[in-house]
Parts: sequence; structure tokens; C-alpha cells
Amino acid sequence: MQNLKSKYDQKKMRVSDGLWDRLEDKLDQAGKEEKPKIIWWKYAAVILLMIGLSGSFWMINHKSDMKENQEFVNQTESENQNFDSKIIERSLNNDVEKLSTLKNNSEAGNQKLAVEDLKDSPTPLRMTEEIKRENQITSQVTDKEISIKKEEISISKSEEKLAQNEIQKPKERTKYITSSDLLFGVEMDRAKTETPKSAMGINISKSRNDSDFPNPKRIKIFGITLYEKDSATTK
Amino acid sequence: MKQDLQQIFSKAKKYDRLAQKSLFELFSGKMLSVANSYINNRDDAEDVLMNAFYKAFTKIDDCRNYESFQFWLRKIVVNDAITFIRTNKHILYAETEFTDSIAEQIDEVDELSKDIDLDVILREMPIGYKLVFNLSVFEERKHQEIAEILNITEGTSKSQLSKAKKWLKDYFNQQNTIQNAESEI
Repeated sequence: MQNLKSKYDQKKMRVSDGLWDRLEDKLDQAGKEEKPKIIWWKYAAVILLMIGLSGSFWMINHKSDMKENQEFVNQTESENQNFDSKIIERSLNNDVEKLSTLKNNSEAGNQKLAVEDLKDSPTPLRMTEEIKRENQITSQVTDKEISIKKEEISISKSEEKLAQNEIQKPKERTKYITSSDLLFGVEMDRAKTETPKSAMGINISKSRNDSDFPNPKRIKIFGITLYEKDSATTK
Repeated sequence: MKQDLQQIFSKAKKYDRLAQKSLFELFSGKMLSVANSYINNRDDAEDVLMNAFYKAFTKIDDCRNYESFQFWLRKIVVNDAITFIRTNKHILYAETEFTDSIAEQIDEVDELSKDIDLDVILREMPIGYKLVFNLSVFEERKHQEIAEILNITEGTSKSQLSKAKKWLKDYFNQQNTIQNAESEI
């Protein structure tokens, strides 16, 4: 068998001349077929990329619009709040000015009084100084009161804001027991007491004797007595 | 020679057409004889050879090194030739068990192999026997491998090989008797 195999391995055949050309054409065709496939994939990839990018841009723009709208809403809200606060501040300033004018007036009056006192009374300068101190203390007290009032106003402002933000929920009405329900309950209780119960708790039906069936003493038909209770005779 | 083959192989891996042509010129003669040993038709064998080379050049990355290229290409040629026969010629293998009596015949054929003309065997041997004989003797495949390639049982492969050898023995005995008769005349 080894002899046969060696003969087989040594054997060669001459290939026809056109075989390589045929093979070359086939290889070229395969190369051409592969190229369009790659180009198609490229186009597909580019289209997909474009779609993805446009989608992402649209999403980003949409989000920015939303943000702008929210910012506009916030700005308007803040502007409104500022406007309200300005109005409140103005009113506060007016109040403060009024208070200051009153204070000045009072101080002026006190000073005048002091001057008059100085003029009229024979009190020494120490007394006038004491009066000044007292006036200073009173002015400090009034300042403190004004500051407290401001704080109170600011607190009320915040409370107002909270009230605006809170959603007004409809108040749930409290349920009360109606008179009809109470009466029904009373009737139920009565029925329970009237109906006798057995040891097992089951209602016992009434006997026929106790029922409302008529129990006559005498039965007469065409003047003839058919039944009498006392005699218990029948004709 | 080896260095040249290595350079050609490395260029062919880069799909260089000249390198591919030189590889074709180097191995086409041998591969055509292999294909023809199965198909027994030159034109069909050339078609199979062309397709085998096309596969080899397009999937050359699967071949690890230049030394194994020849064997790798031969494997492709043999497989393509077998698939060509299976698609164009319907071969039915009768399921037979391999027995000791058949095994005895193999040793007798080995003595005759010196005088056997290879072309005659490849031309005259029935196709069913030839496939198993070629795979077993020339490709040195085991019966298990042959059974997998031809989709038959291992026993059938063994019995087909023994029958092929018996056919060879009978054929050459017949040839000898004819030659003797001719010489007597």
C-alpha cells in the first residue's frame, strides 16, 4: 500500500490554461461584491447617526425650552413677590416715617417741656439730663417696638406665601348620627327585647294559640248554633 | 524554497494577486490529480479545483502558517470533491459488518501493490469503493473519520475498504490471466 501511496503523491496533472483566468475573474467579482456591501453599511450607519443626533438635539432643545419656561414662570413669580415686598416695604417705611415724626414731635414736646421746666421751675440741669436719658430710653423702646412690628409683618408675609402655595383642599364634612338612625337603633333594641330567644340564641316562633287567629265562643249559621265554647257540643 | 513559499504565503494573506497566482501554479497540478482521483472527470475536477482555490484564497486567514497550507488546501480539495460526488452521483452504501474473513484479504493485496497501475485503479474501481479506498490509503484517514465524512458507520467503512481490496485482487488476477492467455497465443 505504501508503494501505491508514493505513486499517488508523485502524480501530477497539467491544469488547463484558462483556469487561472477564471479563478481571477471570480476573485475580482467577489472583491467587487464585497465593496458595495461595505458602502451600504456606511450609508446605513450615517443615516442612523443622523437620526440619533437629530433626536438628541430635539430632546436637548425641548428640555431647554422647558427650562426657559420654568425660568420665566419663576421670574414672574419672583417679580410678583418683589412687587408685593416693595409695596409692603413702602407701607412699612410710611409707618416708620409716621412713627419717627411722632417720636420727633414727642421729643420736641419733651424738650419744650424741659425748657419750660427749666425756665419755670428752679430744677437743676441734672434733672434735665435725667429727662433726656428717659427720652432716650423711650426712643430705644419705640425703636425696638418698630423692629418687632417689622418682624411681625415679615412673618405675616411668609405666612401669606405659604398660604398661596398650599393647595386649598375641600374640607371634609364631619358625619353626625342622624335622628332617623337613632330611632332605628331604638326600634331594633325593642324588637330584640320582645322576641324571646332560646338557649341557643335562635328565635322561637309563636304558638298557634297565641296567634291572632280568631277564637269565637259561638258559631251560628242560619240561626242554628253549630259550636259553643262552654258546652263544647256540636249540632 | 521554504523562504520563497513563506514570502508568497504572507503576500497572499494580504490578498496580493501575484502571490495568489504563484500559489496556484505551485499546487494546482498536484491538487488537480487529487480531485480527479475522486471525480474521474477532468473538467469537473478543474471546476472543483477552482472552487477549492477560491475558498482557500478568500479564507486564507484560517490557515496558520505556510507549512500547513498545502495540507489545508488538499483537505479543502478532497472535501469539495466528495461533496461534488455526493450531490451529482447518488451512492448507496449497504450496511455490512466487518468480519475476520474480510480482514484476511487485505494482506494479500499488499503483495500485489507493486505491480498495480494507479491510473487503472482510479479509472476502473467502483465509486463507492474508491471513496473509502482513497480516504483510507491516500489520505490516511481512520475509519471513524471516513465514517463521519461519508455519513456511514465505521463497520461499513471497514467492509467497503476490504471489498475495494478484494476488487483490486480480482481485477489483477483477471488481468494476469488475460495476459497469460495472450502470451500463450
